Formats: sequence, structure tokens, C-alpha cells
Amino acid sequence: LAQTYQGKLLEKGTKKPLADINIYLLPEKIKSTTNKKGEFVFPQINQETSTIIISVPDYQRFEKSFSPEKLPPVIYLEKEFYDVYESVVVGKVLKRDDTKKQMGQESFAGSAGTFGGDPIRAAQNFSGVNQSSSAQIVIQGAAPGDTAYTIDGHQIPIIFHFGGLSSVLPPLAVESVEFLPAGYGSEYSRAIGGLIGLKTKKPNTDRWSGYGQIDIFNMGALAQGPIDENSSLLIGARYSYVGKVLEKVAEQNEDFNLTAAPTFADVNSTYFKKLTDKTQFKMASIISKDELNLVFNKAVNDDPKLRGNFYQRTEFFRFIPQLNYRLNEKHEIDYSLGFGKDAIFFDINNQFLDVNSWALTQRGEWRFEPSSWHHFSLGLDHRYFWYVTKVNLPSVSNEGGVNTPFSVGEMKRATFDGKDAELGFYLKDEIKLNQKLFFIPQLRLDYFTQTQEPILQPRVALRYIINDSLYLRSSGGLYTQAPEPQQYVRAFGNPFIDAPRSNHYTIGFEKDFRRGSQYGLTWGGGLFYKELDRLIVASSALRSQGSSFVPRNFDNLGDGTIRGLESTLKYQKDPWTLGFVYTYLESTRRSPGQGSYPSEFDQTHNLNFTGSYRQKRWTYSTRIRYVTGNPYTPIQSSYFDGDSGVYTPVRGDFFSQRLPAFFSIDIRIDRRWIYNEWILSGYLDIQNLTNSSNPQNITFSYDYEKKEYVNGFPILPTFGVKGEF
Amino acid sequence: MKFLMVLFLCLSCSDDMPKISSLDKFKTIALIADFPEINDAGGNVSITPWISDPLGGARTIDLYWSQCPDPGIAYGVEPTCVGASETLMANQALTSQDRTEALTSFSVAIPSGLTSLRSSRDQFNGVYYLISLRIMAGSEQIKAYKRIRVSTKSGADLNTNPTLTGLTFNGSSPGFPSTKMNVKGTIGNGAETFQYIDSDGNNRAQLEELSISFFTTSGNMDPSIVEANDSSKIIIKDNPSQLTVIGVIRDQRGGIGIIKEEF
Repeated sequence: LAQTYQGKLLEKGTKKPLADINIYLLPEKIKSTTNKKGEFVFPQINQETSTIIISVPDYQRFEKSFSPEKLPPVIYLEKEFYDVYESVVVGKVLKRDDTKKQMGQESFAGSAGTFGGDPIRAAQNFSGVNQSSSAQIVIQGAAPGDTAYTIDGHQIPIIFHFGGLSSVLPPLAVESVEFLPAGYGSEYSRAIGGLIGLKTKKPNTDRWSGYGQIDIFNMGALAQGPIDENSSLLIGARYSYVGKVLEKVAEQNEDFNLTAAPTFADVNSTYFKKLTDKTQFKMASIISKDELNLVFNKAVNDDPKLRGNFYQRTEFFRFIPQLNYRLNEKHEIDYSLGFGKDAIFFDINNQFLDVNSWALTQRGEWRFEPSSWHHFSLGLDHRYFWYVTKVNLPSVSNEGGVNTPFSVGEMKRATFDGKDAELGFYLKDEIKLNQKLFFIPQLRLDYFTQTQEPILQPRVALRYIINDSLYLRSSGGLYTQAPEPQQYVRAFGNPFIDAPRSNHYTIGFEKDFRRGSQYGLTWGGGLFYKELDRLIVASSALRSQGSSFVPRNFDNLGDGTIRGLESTLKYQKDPWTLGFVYTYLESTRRSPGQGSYPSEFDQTHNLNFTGSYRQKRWTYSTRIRYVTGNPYTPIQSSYFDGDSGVYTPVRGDFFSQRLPAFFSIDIRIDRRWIYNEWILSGYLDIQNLTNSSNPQNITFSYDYEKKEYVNGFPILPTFGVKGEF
Repeated sequence: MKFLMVLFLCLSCSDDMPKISSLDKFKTIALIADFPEINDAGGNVSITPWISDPLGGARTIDLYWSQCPDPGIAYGVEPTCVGASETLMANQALTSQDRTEALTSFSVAIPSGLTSLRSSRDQFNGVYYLISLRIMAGSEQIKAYKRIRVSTKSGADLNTNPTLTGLTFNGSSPGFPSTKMNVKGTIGNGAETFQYIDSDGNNRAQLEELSISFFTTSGNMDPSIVEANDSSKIIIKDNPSQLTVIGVIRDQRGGIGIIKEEF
């Protein structure tokens, strides 16, 4: 008897409908093709036993026989390789900003040494990113404060949670991580070092999917899918119990009690709606909180002011609505707002910093393509913030990276509130002078109410295409950033301080040996040079205020230079992916009375090798790093402070000695188990396999006569499991 | 955040660094001014250095001192008086058996008008006047400084030294302390309430936070410094026949008192 067979073809594990796939039935020798939902139909089947055959590139061949009554209503087709996440295919197009380095989910999700595919930890493999054990990113030998962090282009206060283990967004909520080093374009500013940003992912529109994940540091879940034909939603949350591990370690330490282990939590969501054929709306939001509380049983460094209760909390949230309007082939407009609050609270024995700051950021860009050889962008990039800050802290120096003891500083107590605005306007003109040469003049105007000065920043980029596989690039210009609050508020800083500036110059190349293939070798590299001036340094001088004199606290008397060379080699050929990144760096500073000296973040050689090998359901990856040790300032001698009983260090030549080099081998093994409707994956990530000591800092005896290295993390295995549906 | 990272990475730091509370080498214990704060009209301040030199025998100690307005110690400037001449107090000696005692006091003339060009807030809160010391014993040198606060306050509003009248061991005065006894200072003159003008220009009253640093000629004190009403544990080593325990009370404003107990 003839019967109709209706079924559905889905990808095994992800339940993704497979469209436009031919399904063959033997011995009838008939074919059906799946529709958008993966549905197929065979109107008439006569045989007692039918064999279904499906053969699709990148999927395992499906061939099974069924009796008519046992024909499966759903067929799950298994992929040859499952990426941890779905790949975002990046076409071979020239970027708007040649200096920008970008990494998509498919790259960072499986990187070794990233605590489960963290995008920012993976971005630390880019050339030009300093090795650091802190939660701050240092770019090309600049200072940590010279880096700006963004989500969808809007500034946020921190990019990492406590300890630099996890960035503030979970990997699956991130489409890409973007890194803008020296010579970046006029769309951005306020960071003389560079920027690092996360671009939120547009939620899936075809089906609901998600994951639940747990590892030794944190647990989290995320779901995404369509709400209706035109809108979709992604929502996720994480909670870290990393502090519970530290709490156990700290139980054996008599120096302090952890009363509340360090924890972090974040909640994020992205809503997408296609309003019209020409207009799209996206709303990204994030809430993040880090908290720590402990009691020092003993005074830290025998400093009487560093004992007792210690509490630290960092919280922020942002809502970032974004509108994209494509008027026609020639005109496109992006407009977005970022609204939120930053709260930072730090207290040690009633010495505190309590910052509550509301932020409103605004970005808009009009892109106009009057002709195929001319692209033009005009934009605004504003940031308004109003704050209430309460401070009760001693004013102490950190010159040469050496802290003057808390007890030696003069206590300053102040409450200040205010409103400040950082206004930015930019234009960018991309002119194709001929088939090979692109000329990209740019202009940026920033105005900071903190310093009340408009700063015009001309920038320019050039691109010369030698052939299909090789182009040269060059860029440069002026960059600036506002001083930090403690440097310009009247109580602690100098209200007449100016904004630090930097001139950037870069030249480089990109060579693609792949000849149009997806696989093969690419090589990029270049030179960069930065001149820094008006850098802010501590000052013990006095300035006149009316008829009296008050301390200047800070002056713009520092300057410096940074020069370097970068090279990035990438090789991909299934099942191998290899990367070799090298940065050579010379970063120097000058300040009054010290002459020229290496900067605190001068890492001469930074070598980074990454590799991964895929084998069916297994992926093996590794990262090997060698980095020159950071410079530090030796202590010549010390003075006993008769008032507090602590010793005050006498600094030697600034940063004239170095810590031993950093060396680390990290490995990671991923394994996936594919079930019809879900995927179970597990990973083992071992950092510092060789258990290298990797000194990160120095502690001294009470009178600075003896010193001891503070080592980095020892061998650190982490493992986790994740269920995806 | 760097502070936190160092803290947690330092969970693995060793505990064999020298202890500040051990009187085991040539070191300064306290610099006591009879007036830790004086009026801007100027005047004389007497400084008494307390020194320990347990391994030095009764060797000669030379003390050099100089004076100047604070060059900006909190800003990282070295606590010396560049260009100022040094005064020498030669041929001092520590004659007590534990080689831990006060040297001869010396007098420093603080000039007047030090706050005259400063803001009214600085004038009220005070500015620092520096006395920088070099103390030589044989080839060894230790450096120390004392800052005298100079303000427009006068009379009872000026800071005075706190005092300790004795030390107790597990709440009493034993013939010879045993290890791990809780040592506590008995306070004479306690915390004062003082006035200051904060950075917003508000006049505030605050109670001093007193702390006590302990020293011992055998072993160490754990912790070395405590809040004035707390106790520290004495860790005695090597069954000494003689023992000295010293308590130094500080008000965090330059006021200091000291007590020495010998067993």
C-alpha cells in the first residue's frame, strides 16, 4: 500500500533546520528537498523497506533502512566538526580601519589559557597587548589608564571581573572582540594607548538555543532565539564562586580572614528587532557586580593604617539602544545611546573611596558613499557623566611604581559632586585615488569640560594595494584623553591640569598567501612609534591660589616615546590552526629629576605561539608565551618615619631593574558528545603547565633591606562542562 | 586592583622576612618630640631618639640632624634637607644591658611664619616641618625623620603625646613572661579629640586612633602593631635569660609615648 512520508531534517545536537538538502529514497529512486524549516515530504512510498540516503558536504553521510511504519519523523544529521559556537564567516574585505584587529567567536571560544573561551583573555594574544596578571589591559607599552574599554562602542569602566579571569560579557553574547592599537581611526578617541571593545552578538533568529555551563570558577546559562518573525532575544547570566576557592586557601593564612569571598555576577541581554526593511534596532544591556570583603589580622607591610576591615565593590550597568538606518545604497546612519551607572566602593579601616557616577554616552554616524571611489563619514561621540564622590584617603605617591606608605601620607577627606562632558566630533574621508592607493584623511575634535580645552586631532591613513594578496598600510595622528578624576579635582589634584596627548605613527603590511582559499598562511606586521607629551606626574610644588599657596599635586611635566615592531603569522589547514605573534617594544618616559627611563610596562620581547588540532569530537589547543620581565624601581635605602613607625623607601633610578622573564605553557582539551537534541561538552584547561614562578611583583621587608618576588599563578588546572541545546 | 592581585598572589609568600618587632639589629624604635605640634609663632622642640643596637656592644654612636620645611615626603621626595647644614651629636653610647634606650635629646628651633603663605585650611590643619637624622654606629648608618606639625592652633588645641604607663602579660605583670603570652599596653594619656578642616572646607572633630607597636629582644611580637586596646602575642625564642619588651604608642598625628619593661 502506498503511504505518504513527511519528516524533518535537523542538524544533530543543535536542532538547526537544514534547508535545501536533497533526501533520496531507495529503491524508489525518488528525491525530496527540504524547505526552510527542514521539512520534506515523499508523497508515495510503496516498498516494505526504504533506505534513506542523505549526503551533504561537512556532514556525515546518512544511510539507513526503515520499514514503512518505522520511518523517522525527524532525521538528525551529524556534522563532521562542531565548532564550539557557530562561526561568523568573515569575508575577504578590506576593513574600514586597517589598524583594527578583530577576533570572532569561532576564534576565541576554544583558545587555550582563556578560562573557557573568554574573549578578552583570548585578545591578549594579539600583538601589542602586554602580558599582565591584573584585570587591566596594557596596550603597546602605554599605561593601564591609557586603555579605554567599550561595549558596542560605548565606554564602560571595567572589561574584566576580579582578577582578570573573566570579561564582563560571556563568550556566547559576544560577536567579536575588537582591538584598536596605535594609529586607530577618528571614530574613537580618549585613549592614548588604544581601545579594546566587545561587540554584542545579534541573537539567533532561526530557533531557540542556549547553554548551561559550570566550571571551577563560575556557572552560567544563556538562551537566545526568535520572539517573532522580526525580533529575537538573547539573555544570559553568570555567577562566580572563584572566591570560595581562595577562601579555602586563605583559611590557612593567619594574616587575614576572608569574611566574604570575592564574587562576581553579571546579567546581560540583547534584543534585536527589524523595524523595516531599512531599519534595525538592537538593545544591549549588562549589569555587572564584583565584591570582596576581608579582615586583615595584621597590618599590611606593618603600616598601621592598612589593617582591619577591607571591603571592595565595583558595580556598573549599561543599557545601549542602537538604531541602524540604511536609507539607500549611498546613505547609512547609525545612532546609539549608552545609559548607566558606575559605582566603586573601597574601604580599609574607614579610609574609603566611594564613587557613584551616572553616565550617558551618545554615538552617531552618517556614512555617505557619493561614488565608488569616495566614502565619507561624519560622526559624534559624546560622553556625559555626573558624579558624587566621597573620599577619605591619604594622599601618597606611587612614583616609580613604589608606594609611599599610607601612614606617611596626609589624610584628605572630601565630598565632591559635579557634571562633566567629553564631547567628540569626527569626520573620515576615504578616497580611492586610483586602483591601488587609498587616502583617508580624518579629523577629530574633542572637548573636555574637565580641562576646558578643545583639542583638534588631525589623523590620516593610507592604504596601497600592491596586488590581490598584499597591501601596505600607514596611519597616524594626534590622540588625547581626559585626566583621571583624582588628577583634576581640586581636593586631590590640580584643577589646571591639561589633557595628556600622544602622536601615533604606524606603517605595516598584510600578506595573504591563501590565494582565495579558506586555508593557508597569512602574515601581517608593522612598525609603530608614539610620542607622548603632557603626561601627568605627581608634584610636590606649590601653586598660588589667591594670596596663598596650595600644593599643585600634579603637573603635565612627563613625556615619553614608545616604539615597536609587530609580526603576526597565522596558518590554517584542517585539522591545524597555528598562530605566531611577536612584539618588540621600547617604551620610555621622562619626568622631572629622573631623566629618561623605561616605562613600567616596557616588555622588550613578547612572543606568543598558539596552536590547535581538531580530531572529530576532540580539540587540542595550546598557548606558549615568553615575555621579558617588567621593569621595576630598586630601593636604595629607607628612612624610619618617627611619626608612624613605618619605613619610607628611597627610590633608585626609576625602573632600572627587571623582573625575571615570564614563560608559560597553557594547554586545553575539549571533547564533545553529540546527542540528537543537545550537545554535551567538557574541557580541561591547564595554565602554566611547567609551573614557572613568573614573578609579577616584589615585596620588601619592613625596612626594604630584603626583597622577595611575588609569583604569578602556579600550575592551574580548570575544567568545566557545558550542555548546549 | 593591583593591590588585590598582589594580596592574593602573596598567599604563597614566605614568612621568613625579618620582623619589625625583633630588636635584632641596629634600628630606630621611636623619635619622640616633646611637642608634636606647635604654633606658627615658632619655638623650640626637644627630640628624643630611641635606638636599639643589641649586637653593637657599647660602641660609639654619632647622630647628625638637619631641619627644613617638609620637601614633599608624601609625594615621594626623599626626607632630607638638601642644602641645609647638619648638626652633629657625637659620642653617644647605649649603656643599658639590652643596648636599647634613649639617646640624649636635642633641641630644634622651629622658625615662625611657616604657614603664612598657605591657605587658611593649611594654616589651621598645619604644615610639616622636617627634622632629618643620620645615625652612625661604626660602618652602619640608619636614617630617620620626624615631622613637627606647625599650625595656627594654640594652647590645649595643640596635639600632645599619648602615654603608656605599663605593659601587662595575660592581664598581669609576671616575673618573667612566657612565650605566646598576650601583651597589652596600659594607657595613660589616651586619645584626644581634634579639630580639622576637610578638603570641602568643613570643620570636623575626630577622635585620634591610637596604635601600639611592640618590640622584643627575643623572638618577635605577633602582630607587631595593634590598636591601642588590643593585645599582641609575644613569641619568645631560645630561652633567653634576659628579656626586654617595649611598647610605643602613637596617635597617628606625631604624638608618641614609650614604655620599656625589662625582665
